[in-house]
Amino acid sequence: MTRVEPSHSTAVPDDPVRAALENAELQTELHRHALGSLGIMLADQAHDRRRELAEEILQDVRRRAWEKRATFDPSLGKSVAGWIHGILNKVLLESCRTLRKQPIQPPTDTADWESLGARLASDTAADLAELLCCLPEEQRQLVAWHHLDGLSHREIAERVGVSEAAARVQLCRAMKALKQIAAGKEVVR
Amino acid sequence: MTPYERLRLSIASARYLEAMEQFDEATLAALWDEAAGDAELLAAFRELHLGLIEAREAGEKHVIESAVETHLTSAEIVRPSTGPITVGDVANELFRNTPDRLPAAAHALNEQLRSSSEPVPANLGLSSLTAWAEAKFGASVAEYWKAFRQAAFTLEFRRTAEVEYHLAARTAPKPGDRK
Repeated sequence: MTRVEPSHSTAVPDDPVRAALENAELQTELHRHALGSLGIMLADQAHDRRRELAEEILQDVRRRAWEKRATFDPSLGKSVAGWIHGILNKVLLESCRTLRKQPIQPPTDTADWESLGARLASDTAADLAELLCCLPEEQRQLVAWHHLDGLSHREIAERVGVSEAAARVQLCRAMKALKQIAAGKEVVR
Repeated sequence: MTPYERLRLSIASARYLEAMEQFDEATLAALWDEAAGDAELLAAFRELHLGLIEAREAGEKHVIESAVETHLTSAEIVRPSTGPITVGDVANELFRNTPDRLPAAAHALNEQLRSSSEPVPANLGLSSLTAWAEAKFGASVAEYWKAFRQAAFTLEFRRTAEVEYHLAARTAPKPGDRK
């Protein structure tokens, strides 16, 4: 894979892609995106292999972002960071599909999520309590703290004694379980 | 943040995690397209990545520790320590790193002390430590108490280094961080 790096000269104000590619904080975020996703999508691979692959993928992303920089249009209201994360998502999926020898999967149905969103937004407290009581205690507590009591992820993390990022992952898993319950499906743990 | 906003971000984050698990390319592409124009959603996804890495590393650490405990029973797994150093901690350190030429009686005493939860005194001067320990646990040879004192120092240094490491590794909150 060809290593392409933008030059180290100071980015001009009208070249947001170059500025983003030179931004160390964004590089860290991209690295976490790659490593976090590979941990899920290639869970069976060794940690070192996923780390190597993340590096290869990030090189490819930098190359593609640089080559496509003329197509980024800030006037569309999209952030350059989000645009580059989008490229990374595409490269990640291509790489994982090749490694897993797996064709493109059909998109999952969004109806259950839309239904859960509508129900949580409009349900009375009693209905919501009935839905929540089907969750395991730990997950029920997380959802109640966040959506009924209005606690932030940081506040939940302090109560549970985990990091803010870990609290966010746990809440995501609780929301997935809640969607299954709301759709009348068995919860897979 | 309004309850509606909280719910929207929460559902989008959970959908993102589910899409990754199910290798659902269309949903992932749609969510990233949305995140490119939504700073809150982008921040939520960033935090989720960090959480996934933490969870994966914690899981792998647990698997390794379980394997070590099962298959390498003589190995020591060093975990972050809490509370005062106890006589048992020191005796266990001596058990793992036993000095040469200790008499059998000293080994027997050390074996007995391995289960003690008595905190080691703050004054680790050899004479005061020996007087304190012999009053509590019985007499032993001077070499044993010298080794005991050295092991107590080792544990104290190790614990101080752990605390400094954890303090250094902690990320300082940024001024603009949201509560």
